[in-house]
Amino acid sequence: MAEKTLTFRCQRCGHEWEGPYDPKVAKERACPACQSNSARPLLHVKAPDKN
Amino acid sequence: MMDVGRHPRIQLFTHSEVENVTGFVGNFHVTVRKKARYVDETACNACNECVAVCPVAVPDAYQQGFSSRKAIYMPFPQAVPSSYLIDMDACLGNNPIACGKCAEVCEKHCIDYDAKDEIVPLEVGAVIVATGAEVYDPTEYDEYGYTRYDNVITSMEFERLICAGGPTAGHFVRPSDEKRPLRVGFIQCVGSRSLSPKGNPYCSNICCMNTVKDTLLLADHYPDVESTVYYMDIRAFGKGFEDLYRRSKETGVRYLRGLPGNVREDPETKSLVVTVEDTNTGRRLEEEQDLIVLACGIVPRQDGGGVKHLLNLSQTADGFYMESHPKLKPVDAPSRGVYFAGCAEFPKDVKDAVTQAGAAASRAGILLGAGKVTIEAITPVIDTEFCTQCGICAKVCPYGAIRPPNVRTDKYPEVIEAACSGCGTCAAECPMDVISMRHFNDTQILGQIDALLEDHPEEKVLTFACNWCSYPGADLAGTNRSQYPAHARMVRTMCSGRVDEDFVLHALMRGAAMVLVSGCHHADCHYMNAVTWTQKRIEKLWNRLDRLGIRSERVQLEWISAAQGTKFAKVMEELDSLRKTVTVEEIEAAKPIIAAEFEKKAERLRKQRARMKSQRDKEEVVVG
Repeated sequence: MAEKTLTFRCQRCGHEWEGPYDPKVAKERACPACQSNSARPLLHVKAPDKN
Repeated sequence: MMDVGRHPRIQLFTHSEVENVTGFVGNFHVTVRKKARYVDETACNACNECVAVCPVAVPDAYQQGFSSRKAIYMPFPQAVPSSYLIDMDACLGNNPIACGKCAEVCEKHCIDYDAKDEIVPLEVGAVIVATGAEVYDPTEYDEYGYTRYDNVITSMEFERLICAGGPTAGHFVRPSDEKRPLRVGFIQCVGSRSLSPKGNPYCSNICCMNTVKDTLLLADHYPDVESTVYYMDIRAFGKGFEDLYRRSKETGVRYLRGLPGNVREDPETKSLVVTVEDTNTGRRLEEEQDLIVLACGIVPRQDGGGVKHLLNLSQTADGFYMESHPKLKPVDAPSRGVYFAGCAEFPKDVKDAVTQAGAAASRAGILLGAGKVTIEAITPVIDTEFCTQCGICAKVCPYGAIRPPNVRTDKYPEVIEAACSGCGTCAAECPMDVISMRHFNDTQILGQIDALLEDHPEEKVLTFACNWCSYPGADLAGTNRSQYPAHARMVRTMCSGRVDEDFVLHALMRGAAMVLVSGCHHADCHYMNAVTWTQKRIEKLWNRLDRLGIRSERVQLEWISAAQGTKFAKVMEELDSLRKTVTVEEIEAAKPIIAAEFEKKAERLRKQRARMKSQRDKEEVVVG
């Protein structure tokens, strides 16, 4: 199954971004703005459809 | 290889596959499938009569497809054992026999079309993984025209073409017209050091020196051949390598700093036009070559997942097997009793592979020579009285050191202490709290939290730091005299995987303004993938805190390596800024909410335990 795209929020600086997410694989993530690893996947927020 | 084959104490399995490995350090049970060769290797004297009469020809993989072999063949001239085998996918006659010519001419009656695979069980104390690597397939680099143009070949194909035992008996010719090329271009870093989706980001380590060696070979055999090497850097860092590089330049080999953007073929001459920018002068050049050799990188074996699964290994992001510690245990796998040699761990040249193989053999020898294994002091103890046999502990154990429970047979999870490394993930994940880690049990850790938050907890940033990376990272920040706020209070655990959700909640209930859970970077985790369970746990905790109406930003997660003292100080600065935004009212409001959560959990456990006890009592009465 292909990775889905999810919105992440940085628990440190509040920055939000979209990135690939696979619930079975816990990858190391970092906030693109502040480099913090407190990157929280917002499972209830659907990433906007790019199409 | 010959020495290994003849050694009285080495049992060599060729044309075989490891099917299963169970057990643990000192007690591995290995199942080997010895594939049928259809030729009795003990009787065969490699007379070649069978090969001469075999009517089937297929591309010879050893010669990179430049020549053919028969269906009955020897994989390569120095193969051990020195006997033939039949490729049954290509052979015409098996069942029913349609050809049988090899059997007819074999005077020693070595051919047995009915041979079957043999399953060999082995008991071993240690395992050395030397499964090697593969050469990068450059087909995706369309701009170089590999497979489109006959005269664009890989470095492996070049090796066969120039080898005396190769398909052209050492006569160096180009594939399109079998004429000797007079201009040869080598393109470096094909599939290596690439940040684009094509290729791999790492340096493959061996390609530079392999090309230098190839240019010297060419200069030695064919002084009239003009060689040009297109490169971005030449990495000649090994012993004697710089001399070799200098010698190559002295023989007239031209080194042009710049990787070609495009290669196109002249349809008439089949020569190749290379478009390249000489980055030293900034000039765009078009150069004609008779043959292009792509210095392809090294990639992990595509079937590496099988060995990974069998031996419970972990892989780096590159796909190579990860060692226990890059500096202190460079040949040890994270699973005890398993060692690495060669390119399975990372691309390396012959010298490094031999050095690592020697080290791996020594490590295994030390283990076997001792005859006993010192187990970790920090291992889990499972209280089976209230274990629900859910199996989560066995599932999360990175080492497979917990034998899973079985409800049907009433088997409880069992800790294999020799295989356990003591990360504590099982204890943190156990929903019934029946696993206790020796020396890092809940009472001890909660006691530390209480002590650290005794005075002015609202000013504290309670930090859980793993023993191997984050704690030394904090230590380094201290020895470097890095300045950071003095509000951090550290609780050391062996791994961040040990940090139970309850520890974090307990700290918040005790009034800590902020809690930081820190551990190794994922690729450096000293307990294989334990850190991934930490991440999942904290992600769940953030959601839980939100549901409880507690600001989830009060719990932070950070991966800090032992070398990142500066990062530790920076994180502490950032957390201190966040800490200042947490009000006393907010801290106080969270306390009863968390206390209620603990009470709910205690009640759930009490009820479940009572239910289990009454069920057990009933069963005892029935049995009685």
